[in-house]
Amino acid sequence: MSTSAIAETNTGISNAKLGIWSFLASEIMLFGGLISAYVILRSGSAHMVVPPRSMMGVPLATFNTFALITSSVTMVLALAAIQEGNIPRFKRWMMCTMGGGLIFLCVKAYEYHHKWEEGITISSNLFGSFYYTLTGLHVLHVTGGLILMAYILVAGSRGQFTPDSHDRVECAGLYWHFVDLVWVILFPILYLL
Amino acid sequence: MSAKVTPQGEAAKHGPIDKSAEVRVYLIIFGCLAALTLLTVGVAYMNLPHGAGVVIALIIAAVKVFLIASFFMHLRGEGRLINIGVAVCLGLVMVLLVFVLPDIGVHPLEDAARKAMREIEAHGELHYPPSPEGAAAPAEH
Repeated sequence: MSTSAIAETNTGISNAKLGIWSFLASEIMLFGGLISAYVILRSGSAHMVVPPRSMMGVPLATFNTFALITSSVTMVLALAAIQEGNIPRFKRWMMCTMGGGLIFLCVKAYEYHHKWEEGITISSNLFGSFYYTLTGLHVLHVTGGLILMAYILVAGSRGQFTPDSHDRVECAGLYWHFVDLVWVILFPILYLL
Repeated sequence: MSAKVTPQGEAAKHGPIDKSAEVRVYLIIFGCLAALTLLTVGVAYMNLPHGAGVVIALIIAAVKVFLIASFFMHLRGEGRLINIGVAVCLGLVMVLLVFVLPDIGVHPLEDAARKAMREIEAHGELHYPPSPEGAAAPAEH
């Protein structure tokens, strides 16, 4: 976004930021609806048979949580770097962010394969359906986020962002932190409780 | 709202700014999130009563969500419009959750109703209060 493209707004919030927050609001409702349905059925349905914790792979899920939290902090460091006008540092932190997302996806792929082998499938029972729906939707968001990060990295490398104009980096960061935030809720309710 | 402002006017005025203090805060928040993650896993393996375990895990998750939203997503520094929007969304999610949860509390009543129906089927009449499970049935007349 060039400096000339920054418009004055009545709300005092840039259009890009208002747009991403509106999108995140719809995402809160999407995940909120699914998570509340899971919590209610988990509390009240006799059909919700939860596998023992040993089958859930808690150490791997904990490692994945660290991967996402780390990628969230590297994203915010990338934003700070572009606000300081430090492009090499921005690129380095963006690549770290993408690395965290890729590690998360690889571990998740291994985990899915392992669970499928153990008989936890999307049609095995109510827990399986919720597990794959919730984590699958989250994996789709991580994948979308990685594509967005790749675009931001390329655009930043071409010098499209400056300390005065970096709305797209900020919006991509907000999206990525939201993806991290959803995992922070999914991790205990699916793996630990 | 009639006053028009340039969203990035502050940055445009001052140019590149020193972010080292902010970076330090981000690293502290990262440390807190990592510690809270370990705490969540530790509490899960402490064999606490199920209810207490659920409450503690959800409180820790809520603190982590607060830290990410406030510091990484900069919700603290956002205007009232965005904060109200997020609050409304969270309120609606709580409606989805809390307004349906009491249904689970209805189950004991359903159990009592089923017991009463069994008694009617067995004896042709309802004794109030229903006889306790396993108690001898009243003699038939």
